[in-house]
Amino acid sequence: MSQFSRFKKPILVFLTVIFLIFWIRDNGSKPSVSANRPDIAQALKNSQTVKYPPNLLNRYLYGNGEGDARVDSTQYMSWWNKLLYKLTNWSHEPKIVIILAANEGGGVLKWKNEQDWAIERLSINNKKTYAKQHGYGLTIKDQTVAKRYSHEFREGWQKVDILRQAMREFPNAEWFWWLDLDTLIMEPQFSLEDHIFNRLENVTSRTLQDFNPLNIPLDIPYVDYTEELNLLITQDCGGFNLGSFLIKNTEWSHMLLELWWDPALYEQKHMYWEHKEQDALEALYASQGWIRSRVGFLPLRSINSFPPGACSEFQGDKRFFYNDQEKDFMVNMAGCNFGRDCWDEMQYYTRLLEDKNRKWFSRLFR
Amino acid sequence: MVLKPKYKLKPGSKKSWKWPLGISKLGSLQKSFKQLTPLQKKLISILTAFTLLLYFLSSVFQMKSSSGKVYPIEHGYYQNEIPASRQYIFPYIEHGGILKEIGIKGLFNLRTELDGETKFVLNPQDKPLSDEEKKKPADQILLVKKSFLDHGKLIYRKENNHPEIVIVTLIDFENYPVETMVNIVQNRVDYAQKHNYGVYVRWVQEFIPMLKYQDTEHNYEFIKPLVMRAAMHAFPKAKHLMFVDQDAIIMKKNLPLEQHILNPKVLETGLLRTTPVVPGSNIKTYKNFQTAGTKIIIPQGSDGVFDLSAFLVSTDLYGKAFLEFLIDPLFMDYAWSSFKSSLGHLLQWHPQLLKRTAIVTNKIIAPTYDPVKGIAAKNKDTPPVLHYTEGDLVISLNGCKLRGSCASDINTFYEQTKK
Repeated sequence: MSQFSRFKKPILVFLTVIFLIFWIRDNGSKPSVSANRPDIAQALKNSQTVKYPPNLLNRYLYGNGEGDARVDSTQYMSWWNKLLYKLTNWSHEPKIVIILAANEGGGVLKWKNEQDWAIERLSINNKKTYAKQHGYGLTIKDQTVAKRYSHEFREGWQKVDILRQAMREFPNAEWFWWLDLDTLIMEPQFSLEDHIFNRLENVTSRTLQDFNPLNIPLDIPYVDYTEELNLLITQDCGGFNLGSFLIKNTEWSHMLLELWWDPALYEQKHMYWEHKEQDALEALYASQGWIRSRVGFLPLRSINSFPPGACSEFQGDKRFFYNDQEKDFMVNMAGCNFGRDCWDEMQYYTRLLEDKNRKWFSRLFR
Repeated sequence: MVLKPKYKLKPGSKKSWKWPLGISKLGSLQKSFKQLTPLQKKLISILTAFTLLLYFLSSVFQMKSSSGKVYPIEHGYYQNEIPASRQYIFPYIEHGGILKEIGIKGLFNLRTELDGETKFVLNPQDKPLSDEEKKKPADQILLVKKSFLDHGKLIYRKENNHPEIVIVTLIDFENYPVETMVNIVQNRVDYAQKHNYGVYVRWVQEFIPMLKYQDTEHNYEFIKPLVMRAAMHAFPKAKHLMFVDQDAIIMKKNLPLEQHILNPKVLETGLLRTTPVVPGSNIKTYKNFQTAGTKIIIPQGSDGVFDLSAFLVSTDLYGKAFLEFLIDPLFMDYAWSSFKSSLGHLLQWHPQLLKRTAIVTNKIIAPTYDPVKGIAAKNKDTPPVLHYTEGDLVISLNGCKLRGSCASDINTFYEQTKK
């Protein structure tokens, strides 16, 4: 014992510090929400008379109304607590979540063959390794053909439902990245922060001035371009492309997802809107200023490059097609099941991905 | 074994715990700095100054390159806008007579669409009349027409003492005599002046180009969200907008809205919970509605139909989304039987909006005036429950068109408020 007695003091100091950290942390996480917010205090009071707990049914009610991020888990913490919380990443909740829409069709209308299964497996593994490498969340959603989406006014509603479901699942995530199944991340070393979010204003364009394949009116009333960007999409040769897009977890996004699908609009247009939710979004973008205020356009090749088969009438147009020399981030084999061979393309890009990421030592393990 | 606390370290003793880290080394660093020659010191200071300068310069240039993109500023239906000098924005009411003579065909251009339909259109690039042009002697009719077109370009941009609440009204030069319109506007201004509110009055006819069926007779209600959105843009710092119909008079002028409908406790008294949104609907207002999160307040008459004589919309995201969805051309194109049915559709299909919409009894905002029962009540001491009684904020003269007494009713009730 005596040989350790000289370490008594440092051990004491160490233990005190540890105790203090835990004590402070515990103190801060207590919900003293109602102290600074009279509206919440009122709601809590009301909830005692009403049977339903307010947090379940009205969980999205208390934003600031300006449409900014709703949830900040550090909102009611003191500054040192906030610092500690952020430095140590105690929450372990991912700030960016990838939503991968898998199992398209679900084998309801036709059997899934071996190649379909293989494509699915390759695509999922690709996202899994990417998410793991950068600490992002990944949620794989099932896109089975369901009867409730089969009515002609409700086709395409599924994407909106999945997005809202994911937002309920990860209430503290900041950004969601929607990915179709036929996609491959070709440069897994790029983080989304470096690739997009840290230079958001530089890589995005808020107007359609430069590229407007649909001839949407450029100037409509009530657009405030000083608001922050909440939806980042790309345009291909035929207009908006929702195979890969980013949406921020804000009040605005929830409102957009709510109003995206309105039967009064869809009923008038369901014969013309071939691309369902894409066309619906284009229509909203074309006429509603509050939506246009927060939509930004990324160049197609930044998160959604095409293989040569897609947009084939624009062969040679550098804006659309994947180029591995210029390190395009992602390839989206959009529409590969319409007259092209998905499995072929998937194989080609997987092989390319393997070649690109082969390290000198991987030869040893052959 | 009992652990005894053993304090070697007494207060005031010089022995203390030595930090294992290199904090004590700082002292030696200081010492070595002192040993330097003056020339070396100078060199070091020059080097640090130079790096600091470089750092600042680089940050300045980065700022410039990042703000390279310039986007147009927000505007309404007109791209050119005029700053308003006062927080009471209303048109030249005395022009009503001349405007009636000019008629809508003289005010807007007609354009024939590809499908053969002719429509009145608005020119978004229309330039406002400059002050010099106003002074020049010109054709009276042209000046009136120009001031009609310029009225929609007025924006209140003053930052300090910006009104938080704006009263919005539409006036109609085709159906009302000038004196009545003066009374309507004066009533709003009187109320606003008392509580430092803004006033935003537009001609009904200004909104004809935005309508699908371009008449003000049957589609008057479709103009209400249009003017509300315009008011939201004209008063960018306002928090709430209250629409008051032209066939309504604010009776209790010393009652501020903050103490009335915008106070959750008062709102609670008029709130309709578990009531069908439109008559006969299965979609009902929420039992657990939280008044604290209210963004939109819409009254219902006793028959369960929306009564849009007066309603409130907040100016944040929800108000914008609500109004802009209602005025979306594609949404307006749907074969709605009335504006109320389109509003009913929006609220029933979108719980995120319904959750923030307080559907209240119209008694709390703008109860209807009932000439027959009003007299009966005085005689028999049976106060009508849902009709206007003295002490209500606004009187709605809904139904005066059928009686043909709108102008006279407005004038009588306006005279009452002056007492």
